[in-house]
Amino acid sequence: MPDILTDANRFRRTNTIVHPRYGCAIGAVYSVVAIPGGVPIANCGPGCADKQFFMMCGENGYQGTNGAGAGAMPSANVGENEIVFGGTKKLDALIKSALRIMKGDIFVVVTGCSGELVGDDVGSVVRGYQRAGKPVVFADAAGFKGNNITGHEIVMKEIIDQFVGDYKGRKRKGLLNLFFEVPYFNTNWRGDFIELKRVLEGAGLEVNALFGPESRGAAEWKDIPKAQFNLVVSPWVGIDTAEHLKAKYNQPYLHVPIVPVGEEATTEFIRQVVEFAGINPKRSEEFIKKEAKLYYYFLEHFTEFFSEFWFGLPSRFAIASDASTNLALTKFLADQMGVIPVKQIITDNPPERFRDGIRRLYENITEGVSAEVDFIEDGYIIEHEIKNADFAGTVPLILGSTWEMDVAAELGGLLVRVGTPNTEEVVMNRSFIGYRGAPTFMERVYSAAVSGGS
Amino acid sequence: MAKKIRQIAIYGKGGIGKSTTTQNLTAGLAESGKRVMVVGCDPKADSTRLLLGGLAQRTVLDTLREEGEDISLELIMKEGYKHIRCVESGGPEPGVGCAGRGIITSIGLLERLGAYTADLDYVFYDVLGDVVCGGFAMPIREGKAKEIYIVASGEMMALYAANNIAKGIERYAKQGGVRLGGIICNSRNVDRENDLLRAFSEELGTHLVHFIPRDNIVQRAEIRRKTVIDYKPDSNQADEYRALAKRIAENKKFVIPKPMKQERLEEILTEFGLMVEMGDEYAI
Amino acid sequence: MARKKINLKISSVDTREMRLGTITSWDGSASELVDASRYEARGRGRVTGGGEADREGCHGGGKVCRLRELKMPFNQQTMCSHAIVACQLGNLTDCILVEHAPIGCSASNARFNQGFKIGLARRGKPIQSIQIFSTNLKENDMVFGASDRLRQTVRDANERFGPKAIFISMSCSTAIIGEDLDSLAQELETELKIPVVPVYCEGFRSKHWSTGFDASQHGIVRQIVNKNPKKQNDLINIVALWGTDYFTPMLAPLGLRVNYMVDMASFSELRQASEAAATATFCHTLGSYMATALEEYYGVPQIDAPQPFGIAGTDDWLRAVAKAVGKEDIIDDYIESEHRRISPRLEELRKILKGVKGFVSTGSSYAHAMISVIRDLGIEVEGSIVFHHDPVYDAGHENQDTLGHLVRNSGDLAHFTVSQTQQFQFHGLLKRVNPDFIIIRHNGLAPLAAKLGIPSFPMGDEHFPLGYDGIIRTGEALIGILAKKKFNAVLKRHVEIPYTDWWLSQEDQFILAKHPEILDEPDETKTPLGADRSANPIQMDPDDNLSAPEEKLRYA
Repeated sequence: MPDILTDANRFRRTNTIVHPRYGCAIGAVYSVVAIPGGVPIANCGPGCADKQFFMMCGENGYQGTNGAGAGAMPSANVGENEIVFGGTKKLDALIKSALRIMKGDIFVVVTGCSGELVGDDVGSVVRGYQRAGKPVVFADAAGFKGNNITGHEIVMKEIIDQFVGDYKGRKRKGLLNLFFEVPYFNTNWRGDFIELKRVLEGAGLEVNALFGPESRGAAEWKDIPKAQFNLVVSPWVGIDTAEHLKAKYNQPYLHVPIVPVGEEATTEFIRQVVEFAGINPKRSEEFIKKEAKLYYYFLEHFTEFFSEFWFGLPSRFAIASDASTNLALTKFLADQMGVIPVKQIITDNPPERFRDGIRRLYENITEGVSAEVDFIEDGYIIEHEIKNADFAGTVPLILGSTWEMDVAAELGGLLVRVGTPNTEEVVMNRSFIGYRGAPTFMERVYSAAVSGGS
Repeated sequence: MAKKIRQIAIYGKGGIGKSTTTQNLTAGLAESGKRVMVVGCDPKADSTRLLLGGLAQRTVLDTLREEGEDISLELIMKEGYKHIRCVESGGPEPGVGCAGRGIITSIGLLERLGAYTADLDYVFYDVLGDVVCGGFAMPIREGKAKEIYIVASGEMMALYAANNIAKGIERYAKQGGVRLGGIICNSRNVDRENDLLRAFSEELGTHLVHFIPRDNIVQRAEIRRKTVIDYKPDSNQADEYRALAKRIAENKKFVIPKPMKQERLEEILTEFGLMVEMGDEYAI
Repeated sequence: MARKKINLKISSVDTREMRLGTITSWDGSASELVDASRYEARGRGRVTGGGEADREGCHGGGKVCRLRELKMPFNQQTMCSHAIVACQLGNLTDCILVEHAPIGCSASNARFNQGFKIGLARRGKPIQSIQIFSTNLKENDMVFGASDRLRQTVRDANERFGPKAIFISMSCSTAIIGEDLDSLAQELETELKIPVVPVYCEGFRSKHWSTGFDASQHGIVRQIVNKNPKKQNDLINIVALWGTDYFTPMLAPLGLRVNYMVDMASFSELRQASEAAATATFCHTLGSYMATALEEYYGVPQIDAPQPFGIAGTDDWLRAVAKAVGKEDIIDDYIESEHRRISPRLEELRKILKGVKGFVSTGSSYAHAMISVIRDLGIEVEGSIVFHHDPVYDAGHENQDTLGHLVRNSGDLAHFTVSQTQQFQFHGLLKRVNPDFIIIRHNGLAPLAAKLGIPSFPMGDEHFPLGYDGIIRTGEALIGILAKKKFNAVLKRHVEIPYTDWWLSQEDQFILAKHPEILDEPDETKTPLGADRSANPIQMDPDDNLSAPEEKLRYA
């Protein structure tokens, strides 16, 4: 008798999180690192920024970092004295020295739990530097405010308001600001940014990527108001920023909730963006033709394997990942590969107001197929849900993170790592999206299948 | 077996006369031969001024800030009237840092430095105002003060504060052993004050420990930085504080308070004609 | 009754800086630090609770012999005590750690999971994932209190896994809002009928993360170990991390069974700590608190010796172990036969590694050990960074003075620096000694060395260099590490480092502690606000960025 009760209790959804899949708002220090020339100043306890390093880039495909990331990151390492007596004096000395010691074009003071709880007036310190013409911005990103995605949007907004500033000039047709994946957090973000920028430029657009290896850094951020429009390619991340820009610079935005994967989705994506921009489609259609030819060249080769493989290929899949990856890969597998979605779990805690919209995107995700989506952050419950998914006796294909290793092993399934954290793969320039990324994703899935996941 | 140290926290609205009451009361206990330590937990750091006379006292937090973490007990604890050991927690400048955390830090440090020696009979914590955050509740937590007295008067805001403090005690009483020992009235010469405080105490499920009449001798003693017992040992007011000390020493009535709902508190206040004075009280 | 050095009366641990006078910022020669530390005087004076001890002059954190620190205005990220507790108490096989914190405090769990699994494999235990629970606190919990969240999560942990004990760690935010862990732990202990242990390791409490080791051990000795121990005369506690079990073969000739703590231990293994014949450790930074607590409260003697690394260290350590367990009669023969056994290969390795220069940057007393190991291989070591310095260890036993032992046995180091993974100083500190490789354990420094052309030897298995065989193992591995210079040379040719020429031109890496006013001098090296960097893309000649133009660096 008590066992039944206990069992129900074990799987009850509470505040508890085991096996976390994201960092906290202070993780946005890595959004700053992702801007070339960006220097975060972590105004938080010792250990805060270091922990985010592990979730965001250390144990997430061993991406590593550059510039002012990881061990190079300035940090206040707040101690008991700063808690009791306030931390602004120490912060002031830190900013002053960081400006001299660190190379950088924009410095962002990101304040964590301790400074916010004791009410340090960070703004008054930073404004002094701003008045002196120094490129310093401050953002309140206490860990209790939310996860690293919340922090990412807070940091973007503060940079726009304090560094980019007002703009009354003309806009440039065909120039767009890209709001896309969360740098470092999305394991493949570098490769994905490169591919999406390539696709958009191929279609004849100019792109402020804002983050990643192909961004021009602070100067590109200064160009944000010059863009004709903002492009949000994500189910929910970036919408608040786009709304803010709409109000601030009278910039419209196009929201593409599903990141395109494969030829058909990417081609449709290009046409949608080109139409919104109102530019001549001649160049984009030429680009599409060239890319499609290459794509199907590979797909035709793949067909020999896909249609003749004797030893069985996965027919049903579950996925546990952030909303963006989840939607993109669910759509691709269901719509392009004919794999049946049986359990879709979104793990990045999108705000309530976006959830119904996201749910609707899974309805008729491809003709005749709808998937139910669940929002869960507690790894224990996620693993339990995957365990109970109906794979109909077939070999389960599980798209997830490091934390799904146990359940994948228990089910004898194939685990393909698409989510955060990921401690079993070294990721460099990898992408699963667009024209060029889709075949890489197929390689991963079907290599797992032919090797039995080993 | 070693006797237990009675650890007592005195709470009450700011400006109610908590510190004055605590110091006079502890002077009374010390006079009767008891070993007492007073820990001021008010950022104003005026909880031990009368006991120390002219002695300058450095607060724990100031010392911590200036000397670093390796403080010796002598730096922060001074002996005052009749060997009462005096400590002031202190606090940050108004508007910066976290005073609540300061109290946690200070009491933690006192424990570590071995301030709670076995020869003590009493430790008093004089705590600012309301239990506004976890830090201000520190003295009433497990292992710290188990007895609470609330200083109040016949003024509306004092009673509001007292009721709120009772809520804090109720909360901690459920987890630990903290109990309300009673209400101390520091009279403001309000009409029917004694009756009001008795009714209020009863409603809370406790009792009025003592009614301290208003007497200017208290202010005169304060100007000389003395307790009344020290300044005019043979005055009536000195006897009042001695009586308070005796009542606390002999108190056996410890309860989990039953804080009032807003409506009930307002009923009592209206009954005693206090509600109409609200505007005036806020002006003070 | 004599006062004890370890105070188990209160639930929160005394920080290292209070107990030991720990510092995190210092620069000079190793022998200067040995002199300034006054290990013996401190060892005699060290008792808990300041006060009385102060009068004796030189206790752990006593003012009289307080070490002068160099306080820099600039800091880079470091670890914290809370993370240390997670990788200790979160790595037990049948107990659960609950982190009472916002979710970001649990962000390195994947890293600790990896270490745990590898550690289990090294010790031949069944592989399992870590199960650290977070109370996942939000803004409302900060305002209204988070105790109910904690109750819920502790109950969840209990229902899901039925652990033998639950530890609760305090974070910065829960400490600031004043969560009452003591009461909550007591309440939950009564409810769940298993030990529920509060652990005070909020990051801001101590200036050095290694206080987290002490906090974990404090909780274990207070609430887990058997209070009525039945002596096990062949059991020796080894306070360790995740290292391979090299202790068992080393101690088997003395008839000893090893009880490893804390990582990968089970509840019963922790519990029997009070029953052991002795306690030892591979690193006094790590093991000092536990060993001293067990010694003072349960009469388990600790090994009064430096650490079992390098020939002299291993000799002394083995002799001390033999003495503690009554095996003095066989120890000299054992040591001598071991010397003979390793000698041929050691001589060969010394020839191969002749002229190689090494640099050690690891945790405090472990660095002392590493320097002796590579010096035994004939490698020259003139520089080292330790992340903190304890002028004395908890017990104050004289023979545990690891830095003194190093200097006395293998000579001084001209450049000995205390600095907590401060990468911006690393360039200048390396420049002073021009090493061929560095030994590290913590993240933060090696990537910079890599970009300067210097390969790193991450001593991920901290037992790898242990004992006599460890010297040989280290030598063999080093040959492979030195080969990686090829990669570092490529990096050096093409990748820039993130510090300004102005800073890289500073000779003294602690100049800002001595002359903070130079920060106020006009700054002409900066690109002004809003200047278009696109015209000046970040493609630079690496050599121009390594040092001031007039002083080009040349790393071998």
